[in-house]
Amino acid sequence: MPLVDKTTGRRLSGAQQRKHAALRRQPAEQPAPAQATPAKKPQAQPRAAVHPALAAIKPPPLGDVTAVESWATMCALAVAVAGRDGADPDRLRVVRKGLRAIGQLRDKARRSAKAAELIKLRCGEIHDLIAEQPPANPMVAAAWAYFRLAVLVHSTLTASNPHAYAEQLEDLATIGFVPSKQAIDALTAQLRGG
Amino acid sequence: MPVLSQEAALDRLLAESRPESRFVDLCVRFRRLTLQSAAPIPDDTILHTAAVVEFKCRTVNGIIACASTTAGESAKLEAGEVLTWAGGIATLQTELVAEFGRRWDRLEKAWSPDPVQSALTFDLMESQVAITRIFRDRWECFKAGKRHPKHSYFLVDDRAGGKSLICLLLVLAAKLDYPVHPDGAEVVVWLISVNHPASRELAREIRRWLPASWYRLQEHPHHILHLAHGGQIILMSTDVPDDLKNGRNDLALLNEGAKMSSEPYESGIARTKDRMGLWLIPSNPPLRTKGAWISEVAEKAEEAEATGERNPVEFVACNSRLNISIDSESNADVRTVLQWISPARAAADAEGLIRPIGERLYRPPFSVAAHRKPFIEAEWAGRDITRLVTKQETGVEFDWIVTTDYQLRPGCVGTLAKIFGSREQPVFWILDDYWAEGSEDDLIDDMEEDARWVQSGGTPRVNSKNTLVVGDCSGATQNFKHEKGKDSFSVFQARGYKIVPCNKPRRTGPDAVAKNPPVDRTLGRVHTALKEGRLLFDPAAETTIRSMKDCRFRKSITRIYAIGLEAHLTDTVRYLVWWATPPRRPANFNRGKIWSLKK
Repeated sequence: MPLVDKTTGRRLSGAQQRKHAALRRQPAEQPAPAQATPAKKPQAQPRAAVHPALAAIKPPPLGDVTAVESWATMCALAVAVAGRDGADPDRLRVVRKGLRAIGQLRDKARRSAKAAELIKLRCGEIHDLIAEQPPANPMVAAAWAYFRLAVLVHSTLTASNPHAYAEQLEDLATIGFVPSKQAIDALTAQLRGG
Repeated sequence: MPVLSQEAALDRLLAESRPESRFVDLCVRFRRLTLQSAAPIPDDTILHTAAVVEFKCRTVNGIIACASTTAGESAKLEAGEVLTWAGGIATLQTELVAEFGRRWDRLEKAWSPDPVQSALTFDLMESQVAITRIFRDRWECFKAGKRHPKHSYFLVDDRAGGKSLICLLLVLAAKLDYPVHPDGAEVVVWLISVNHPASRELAREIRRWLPASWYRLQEHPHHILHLAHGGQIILMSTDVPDDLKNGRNDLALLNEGAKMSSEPYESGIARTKDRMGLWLIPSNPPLRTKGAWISEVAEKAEEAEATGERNPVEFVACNSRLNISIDSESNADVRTVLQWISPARAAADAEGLIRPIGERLYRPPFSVAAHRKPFIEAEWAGRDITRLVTKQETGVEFDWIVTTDYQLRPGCVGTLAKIFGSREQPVFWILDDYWAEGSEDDLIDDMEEDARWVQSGGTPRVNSKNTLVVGDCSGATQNFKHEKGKDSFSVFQARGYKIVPCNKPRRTGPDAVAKNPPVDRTLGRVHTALKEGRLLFDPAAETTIRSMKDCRFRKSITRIYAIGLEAHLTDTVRYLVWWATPPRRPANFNRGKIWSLKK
């Protein structure tokens, strides 16, 4: 449906259409308000309080893929409870996105974590899968991304501005689409052969 | 490569690499448990350890053998454990009968020099001890590449002796112990069942006894047991016996051999020639024709043992009476009921006796091992009573007796015999046989030609002057074609032979004709002679020996009839024994009257 001026019935200009689109976007993505004089600065809208079910979630048990999956399940339950109570739908939308990514990444992360352990045991190469910085070896990237996702989801549960994490979640989830399968196969073939 | 296989590869590599799972004790120990007790302990007594493990015991040859009532529970107990029962205490003794395997290093894919920390312990039933010892020694021989006189071990006995289980465990332990030959070739091991549903029994026992970390059972596309050290055992079925012709084989378990024909065994054993392998065949005694080959092998083995000939098979007992876990009273109950219903099944399943399949007229007591002996003239010198017997029976002395039977098909047959020993207990030696596919004349030609004897360097033994012919009584009234008016006896008489019927006529008079003695009347004498070792066969009479072994019979309401081709030569033997054996208690006409009407 083209946007039209309700009084004139004419289609809006390009500038007016862009303004409308910005209004429809998420608040975090809306263009920053024009600088105003301090005297005229409006008070920031206070966000609704974090739902107790979300606040009760403990930090994820990093380092253990299976345990993190169980933790994510508990998160999903808390989101369901919060959703039922009508708590902050924007926050819940971001958290759901992160939990979906955790589920999608789980199997790849498990294999990646096994590859990391194998590399450690057989090649002496140690990778910190729960560090903030990404690992140097692509074979262990999926496991690292999995744990980072868990950390981000946990932050999103209580963050004042959960929308700020949406892009990061998307970026980490993307690692799951390139899990270095061939490299892991090559590693196992090499170790089995040797 | 599917995802699962990547995961599996990673798991396997991790298991090999983690210090806690790198080493696996692929070691099986077979122990024999006995009890030491000051007082005798009655059979089937229940004893308890302090940890409430229940034991049962039985005294076998002066040794108190014992076993836990729950299979595998005794494995955690060591020698010296005190067991209590109502009559006192006993001490557990253990004997390590065999040990297979060591500690395996998964990373290096080699045996580790470290000692075994936790072996799989299997406590043997007394019935399983013998085969374990035999297999242990045989396996050492195989590993050393030495030749061993035995190739196949048959465990043919009654049910519930634990045959299949011990054979399975021995085969598994052997493969765990020695996965590859020194030249790198894999030791090829087969577990053969009659069909794949039957092989599930083996799979169930594997799952029951082997630790899960030692193996993986693959069912598709082939049934293969993968062992932790990379060795494989192939589970095969005999649905397609020709499949057993493929490739080399070192060790095989042919489970329940009596349920299959001999074809899998015939096809399979040839594959063991390369490296002097061996087969284990646990089975119940055969009851059907299909498994008759086991009886054949048993007989041949017995014969070979008796004659000292090459015997590559060994029959090992594994009787349920020595399986302590089986209640002896229940065992006796089963045996009794089976004997009521089916004596043949009772003999096989309850007694473990290997009997020939199908009923045979002379077997038992006839046995090739006992009754086939080479005739050594020097041994019997001075004891020949052939002339005496012929004189007594016919009034003329002869050196030889030929008993004859006349048929168009399969032909006219005769056996050459001599009689030794005493008149009351004569010993019959069947020295040769003749089988002429023709008339009586042809038979006489064969007798006089005496081809086998001449070929072995002798001169013909039979002629009309020195040989008495004892004939089938019907030969007095009909010839070999059963034509009336022409008789077989007259042919012999025309060629100068003295011929007498094998039986006396029932009445006297010029037209009195003798009838052949019926089988049921004469069989007793033949069986007695066989049992007493008074009916012996020289190997030259090979066809007669085979006929004695395989002669079948048919029963009517009142009679027994020998049937089949084997009946002809055996009839001649029967005629001879009947004709020359005196009544057990001849009539004494001079004896005073015992019963008299006069007072």
